[in-house]
Amino acid sequence: MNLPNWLIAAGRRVPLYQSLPERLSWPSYSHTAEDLEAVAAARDDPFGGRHDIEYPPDVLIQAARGLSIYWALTASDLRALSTILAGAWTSLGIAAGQRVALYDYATSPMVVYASRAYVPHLDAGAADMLGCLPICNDGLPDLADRCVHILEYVQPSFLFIDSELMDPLSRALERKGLRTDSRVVVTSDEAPAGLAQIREWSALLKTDVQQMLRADAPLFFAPPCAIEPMTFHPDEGAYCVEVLNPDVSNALPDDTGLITVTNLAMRSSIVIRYVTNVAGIVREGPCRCGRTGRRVIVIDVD
Amino acid sequence: MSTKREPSEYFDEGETVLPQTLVDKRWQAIDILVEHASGQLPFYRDFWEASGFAPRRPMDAAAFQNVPITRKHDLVHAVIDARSMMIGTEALLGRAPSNVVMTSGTMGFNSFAIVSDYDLDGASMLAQARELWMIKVRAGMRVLSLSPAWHALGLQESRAITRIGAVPVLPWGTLTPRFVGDILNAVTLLKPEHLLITARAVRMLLAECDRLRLDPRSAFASVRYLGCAGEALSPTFRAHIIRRLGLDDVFERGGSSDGMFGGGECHAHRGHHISADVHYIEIVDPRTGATLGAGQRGTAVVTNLTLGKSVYIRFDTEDVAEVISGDCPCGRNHPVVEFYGRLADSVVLPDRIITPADVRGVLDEFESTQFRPFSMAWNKADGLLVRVGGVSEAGPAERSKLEAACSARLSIPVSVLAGEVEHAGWKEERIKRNTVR
Repeated sequence: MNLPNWLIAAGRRVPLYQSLPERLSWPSYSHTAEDLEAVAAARDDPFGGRHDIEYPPDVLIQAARGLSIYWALTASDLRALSTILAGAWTSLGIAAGQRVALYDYATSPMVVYASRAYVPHLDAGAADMLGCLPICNDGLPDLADRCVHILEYVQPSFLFIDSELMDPLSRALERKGLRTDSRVVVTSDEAPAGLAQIREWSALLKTDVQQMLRADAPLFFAPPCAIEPMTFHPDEGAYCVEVLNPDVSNALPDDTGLITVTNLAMRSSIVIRYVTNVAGIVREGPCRCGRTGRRVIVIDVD
Repeated sequence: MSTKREPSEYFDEGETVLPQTLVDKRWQAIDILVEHASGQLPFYRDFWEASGFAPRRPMDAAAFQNVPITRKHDLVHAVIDARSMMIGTEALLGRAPSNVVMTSGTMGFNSFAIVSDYDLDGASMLAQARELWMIKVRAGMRVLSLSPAWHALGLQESRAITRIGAVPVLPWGTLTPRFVGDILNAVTLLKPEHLLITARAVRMLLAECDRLRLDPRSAFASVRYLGCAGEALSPTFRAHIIRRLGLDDVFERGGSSDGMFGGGECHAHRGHHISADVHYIEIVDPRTGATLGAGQRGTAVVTNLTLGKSVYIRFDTEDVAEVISGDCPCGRNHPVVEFYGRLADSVVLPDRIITPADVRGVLDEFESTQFRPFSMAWNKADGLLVRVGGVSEAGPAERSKLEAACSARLSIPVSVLAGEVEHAGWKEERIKRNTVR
């Protein structure tokens, strides 16, 4: 796949893409989270070699839980990422006037780009763009009771929740003898839940549970297909998704491999072909739901 | 009152407005607020009516004393009765709500508040920006901040950092032990000049440095200032933080998600400057309900002076506080309020209120009890029992000195015991009272 010229030029400027180990079977620029950490350690660079110094940052934010790599983002990057999130929310059916609850940490991308009040230097988050009213609980499992409290009294149309918090939430709802009418959207950094798990949560909570595909290290999120299971539609203007088979001796079926993400939305931090831990297929052409463009079909982890 | 300081010392000219002007503007704002609440806000209209209060204009100090005090349980009952976060305190003036925030739930139940961009970019942002400016946050400065997104002051901090033009450093997670490694990494990797964290987080970070055998002065070499929220700092603890981290200064910050107000210290460290054109703080005697003068302890009762959000009118935060009298050397004319902790954690005696901060101050002066968790229990017959947690027990001579110092400082009999304390941490240091008179 051809990458835009501006991105290749930026890739040549930042240190990461000059420091990658040689992997003959990998497309150029491909890298993993371990590569980011190695470059960070070797160059004493908290940004893992991805920051383009032509763009002085407005915000420095840790890229992912357990990964000591930081984003250096400008206000326009923040805006671009919020626009992508707003698009994902729209695909999920979120509309003006609805209340949206978030059960995740304030530094999770699901929260950061949701409201201009959640991160400095953002002029409009997804909720602001769509005219929604957000509320955020912290992402600690022992705050599940407070999440139930939010569901009970705020009555959001949607709840975004990290998948590790689904069990604490289910138990808290059960303890209180409550159920929720909110639609639940589960996310998890590079660890999507399988279809059986989603169905089990749906049955347990007696509500519609959906999943959004998420990878924090490339700042990637893609809403689910309305029809096809385990299928996700990334914003084509914002991401280029590809598949990489990292080990040719490991015979994955057909054209399956690890989903690889290039972020086309950010300018101050350069992400070219970040190799996620998500195994799947990338398909082009019209989907049964009517959407065109590349879609990601995640291999069902169940 | 001095107004001859360099302009850059203040965030805006409003900080040195003459005191009488602030007072005049306060009553104008309260006049509008009370009229709006009695006509447009069902919670206050019904609550005041049920309390037999009918607003009389114009509002002045005497008339305002008749406005019924709203307590946390009034808001909690309103949420439960309405089965909704909206309880009729939302003075949005036709503007769209932008965010829902929560109170900290000290009664075991979180109430909610609504804010709008009008407020977040207006009065609340101004008050918060003044606070950050006062504690030395500046444009271009790297500032580590980890504000929760459920807390009104967290949202205000975010907008104030934007307004000042500082560069926030945002490590993953929240200010709990499981993320202390991320916070320490952020400090060592990104070298912020300022930290906006809690005292509990400072203790966690120091313990983590000790665990890693890391010299805190080296790890925190970039850090010059610390804005510290969550508890009243004892002078010894403040000096300890400055020495161990090698800081230029530590500023206490304080406020409440209940009432949505806050304030920080200036360089004089006399207490918290509260923006008097945004909030009005009264100190009220919890025993009688009377408004107290400067230098007298009671609970802080807040009235928000601007609209565009859920408003709190004569709302009792149940935080023990006092107004500090006298002009501030910094030249700001906004009142200085010192906060001592929660009323529920304190001993209310007929003639005074003893808070955990008072005990903490004495314990921190003795090496054997310095910075250790403790709990207090009051018994009319025996006085105050202070149970200090931790591994080392003071010897009899040390214990005797400690008890004598506590008794002298607090003017009541005090016994000190070593033992297990149920919780470690300030807000968890709950007092177990048998009787309160």
